Amino acid sequence: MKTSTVSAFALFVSMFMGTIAQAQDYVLTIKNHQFSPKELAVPAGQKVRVIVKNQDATPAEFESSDLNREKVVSANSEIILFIGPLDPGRYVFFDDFHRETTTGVLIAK
Amino acid sequence: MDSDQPNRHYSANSMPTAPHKNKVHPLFVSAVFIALAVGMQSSFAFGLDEVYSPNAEFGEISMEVSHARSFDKNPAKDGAQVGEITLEAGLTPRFVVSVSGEYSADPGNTMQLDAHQIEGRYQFTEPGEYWMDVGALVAYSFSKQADSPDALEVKLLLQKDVGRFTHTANIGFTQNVGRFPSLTDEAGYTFLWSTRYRYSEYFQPGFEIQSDLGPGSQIGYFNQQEHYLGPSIQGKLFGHLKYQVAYLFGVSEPAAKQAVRLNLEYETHF
Repeated sequence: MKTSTVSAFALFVSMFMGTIAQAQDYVLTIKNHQFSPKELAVPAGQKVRVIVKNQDATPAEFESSDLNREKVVSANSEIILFIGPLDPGRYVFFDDFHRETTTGVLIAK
Repeated sequence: MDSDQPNRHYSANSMPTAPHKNKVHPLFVSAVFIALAVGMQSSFAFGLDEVYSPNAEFGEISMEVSHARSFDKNPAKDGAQVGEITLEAGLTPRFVVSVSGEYSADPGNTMQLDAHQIEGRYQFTEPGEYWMDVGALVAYSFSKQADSPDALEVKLLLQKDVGRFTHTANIGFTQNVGRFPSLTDEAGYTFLWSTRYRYSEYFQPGFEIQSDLGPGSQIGYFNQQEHYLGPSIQGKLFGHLKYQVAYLFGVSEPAAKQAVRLNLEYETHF
């Protein structure tokens, strides 16, 4: 009984944690209020880690209704976003502090 | 707040009996009507709340107004109102603190300030890091009514994205504490659920469930609890204004027939 409980707990934890180990890293840079790359391709059906590096001297806010993410990136710092697994498609994101100029698309394929 | 008020139920057995077999005294009739009215009003503890995401927004400061109103043919359930005016700040990437004033009106009565509340929300996990996003809310309400106790509320906040759908659940309990706690007051439990389809930044339709489960002894007795279910819309207007509207239908006996919940939030950054 105890063994099965421990096994079930271990299985649950491995399922819970396993997704992190499998996540691939992708880098998105903000410089001069522009995303680079403007289109970031990621694999569909997989969880990915997107590291957003803000190289500007002002803060930015990565925001996307498509991806359900909203997170401030302080000046000259970085954040990590866990995204997906996504269906194939285009997912728009922008810097909410400079949304007229700073936009990009994440393409899952 | 919904679960601040313990539900009281009056059975037919508890009603006073007639003092005379053949003649009913007018005072007795009046007393029966008053007792019925009080009983009906007391068993209706209207309260709808925002369904909170576990995710914090660092550096964001917001002013929020929320209001809910009941609609029912029964005057004892019609026109009950609850609301809150809140100032909120994301102090760290995982911690949000807010202060608010809570007000309410029983059916037929005018609005009154019930309590001042201080609330903290903590985000345990990064959004999308694990299978489910998890957070917690702890709130303390300082009663402004002379005969009402303070209240401590704790909620578990859960969220899961599935494609363009976002599912959010809040499981909470409230315990009366402070100056006038009644020893008979059990902790009250609540369950809130929201599902929304992220069609666009501005328009996210979905549905909402709001359940005041009452004290632990009432768990499992559906028709002693207040359950509401109905469509909702949320999104952004004019860049910095977030809105939520829900039109809910009472689906259990103590609930009002319909209720509307509105929430407006103006957000900016510091």
